[in-house]
Amino acid sequence: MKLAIRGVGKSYGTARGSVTALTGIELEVAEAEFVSLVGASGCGKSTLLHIVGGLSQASSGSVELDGEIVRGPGAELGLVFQRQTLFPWLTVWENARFPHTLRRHRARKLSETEIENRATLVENLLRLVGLWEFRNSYPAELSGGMQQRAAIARALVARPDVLLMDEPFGALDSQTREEMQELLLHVNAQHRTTTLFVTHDIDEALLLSDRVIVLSPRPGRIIAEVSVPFARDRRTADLKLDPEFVAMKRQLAKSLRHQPSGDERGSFLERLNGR
Amino acid sequence: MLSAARDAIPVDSAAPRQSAQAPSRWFPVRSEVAPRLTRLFGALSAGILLGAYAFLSHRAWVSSALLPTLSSVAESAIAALGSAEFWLDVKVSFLRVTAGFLAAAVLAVPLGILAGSFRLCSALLEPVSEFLRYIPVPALIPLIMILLGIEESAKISLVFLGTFFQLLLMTADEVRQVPLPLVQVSQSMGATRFEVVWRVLAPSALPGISHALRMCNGWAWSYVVVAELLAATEGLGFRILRFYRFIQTPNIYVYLLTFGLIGLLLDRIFRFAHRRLFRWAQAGST
Repeated sequence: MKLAIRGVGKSYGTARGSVTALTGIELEVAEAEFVSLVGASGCGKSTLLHIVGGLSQASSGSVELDGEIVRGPGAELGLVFQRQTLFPWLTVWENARFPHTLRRHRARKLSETEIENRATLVENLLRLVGLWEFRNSYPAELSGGMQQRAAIARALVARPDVLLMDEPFGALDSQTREEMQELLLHVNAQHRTTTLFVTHDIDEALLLSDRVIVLSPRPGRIIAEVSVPFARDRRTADLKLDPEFVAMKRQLAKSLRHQPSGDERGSFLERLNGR
Repeated sequence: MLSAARDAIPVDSAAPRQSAQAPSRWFPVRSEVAPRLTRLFGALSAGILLGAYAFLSHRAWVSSALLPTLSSVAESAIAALGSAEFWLDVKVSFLRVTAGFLAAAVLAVPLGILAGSFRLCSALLEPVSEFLRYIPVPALIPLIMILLGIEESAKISLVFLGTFFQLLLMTADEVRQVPLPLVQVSQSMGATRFEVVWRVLAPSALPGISHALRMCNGWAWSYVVVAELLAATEGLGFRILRFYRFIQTPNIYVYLLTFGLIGLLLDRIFRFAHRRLFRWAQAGST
C-alpha cells in the first residue's frame, strides 16, 4: 500500500468542551490510485487531508506512507488548496520551478542533462496546464482557474509520492470547474500520481476517481465506499450524462443524505417541508 | 404573507424614489470625483492656509515675533539657502536620523522576522519590546547622557531606541499576517525551516515591512529634534532653539518648512521605491 490511514481520529477542545471531528478512519490507497473523499461541509474531510499531509496531528491512529509513519509535512506529500497559494511575488514560471530552487534539489551537483531535464519538466507541465504563454505573469494578473492550474503544475514539479487536493476547484465558477476537471484528467493521464482528493461535489468525485469514499457528518466516519468502473478514456464531461453514472450519483447522494446522526440539519429540512 | 408583512411597515409614499437620484457630484461616499475637483480642493487647502497666514501676519494686533510676514520668511529662506550653516544643519540632522534609523532597521527587521516566524522567539523578544516601546524616548535622554555624554553617539542612540522596538514589533506583525497556506504549501514542496522563513515569510512580508520602515523614518525625525534641542552644537533642532533665543522667528519658520519638505521628500522616495519593488503587491492581488 502506498498510503495507509490506520484508525485515525481527531478531537479538539473548544470553549464548549471537546469536539470529535473524525473517528476510526481506516483507508488504504494504492500506488497511482485516485481516491476522493466526499461529505457534507464540516464532516472533517479537510481535517483528514491535513492529518495525512502532516499539517496537523491525529488524536489517535496514524498515517503511513510506504509503511513509514507520517510525522510532519514534506516533499513526499504535495498539496493543492482551495484558496490561491501561488507566491504572489514570483511569476508563474518562477512559481512552477520553485521546488527546484529548494535546497533538497540543489544538494548535489547536477549534470548538464539533469539541469536540462528539470527545465523541460517545468516547461512541459506549464504547457500541459496551458500557461506557458503566461509564464511571465504574476499571480495577481491571472484568473482564479489559471491560478489553480499553475498551483497544480507547481505541485507536480516537486514530484510528490502522494498529491493531496483540498477542494481545489471549490472557489471556481461551475464552467471553469468543469474545464479544470477535464484538465486534471488530462494531467493525470500524463503524470500518474497517487491522489487523495477532497470535494463536496459528487459529480466531480465520480468523474475523477478510481474510488469514492463517503464520510458522515461530525464525527466523520466512513459510511460508504464506491469503486468507479468507468474506463479512463471514457472520462469526459459527457460521462456525467451516462445513465450508469447518474445511477451511481443517485446512490452516493442517497448515502450522503440518509446519515444516522444527531445533526440538526436533516430535521430542519423536514420541518421546512412540513413532514 | 410576505406582502402583508411589507405593508405593515409604513413608508413615506410621497418621498421620491431613491434610485432615481443621481449620486452626489461633490461628496459621493467612497467614490471617485472628477480629478479637476480633487486638484481644486488640494489647492484650496494650501491657499486657505497661506491666505490666513498672510492676512494674520499683517494685522497690527498679531506680534511679528509670532507670525512674521511671508516676505520676511521668504527673505530668510533665501539667506538660509545661501549659507553654509543651513546646509550643515540639514546634513548633520539627516546623518543622525539615517545612522540611527539604519542601525535600527538592520537589527530590528531580522529579529522581527524571527519573532514573527517562531513562537519562542516571539516570547523572547516581544513582551520586552512592548514594554520598552511605551517608555517615552525623551525620558531616556538623562540616562543616555550619563552613558554617552553629548557625543554624536548619544543622538544616534536616541533615534535608534525610538525606532528599534517599534520596527521589531511591526515587522513581527507583518510576518504573522502571511497566510498560513503559503507556509504549508512550501513545506509540502520540501522547503526546510530556513527556506520557509527566508524564501516565503520574509519576501511575503516585505511590502508591509517597507511600509513600517517609512513610518519609522518619519518618527525618527521627531526623536532627533528632541535630542538636538537638549544637547547639540549644530543640527536643525539645535538651530531652532537658537533662533528662539534671539527671537529670529522668520528663521524658525524657514526651518519648520525645511522639516516638512525633507519629510515629504523622503516619504515620496519611500513610496516610489515601494511601488517599484513591490509591483506584485499592487491593487488586484488577493
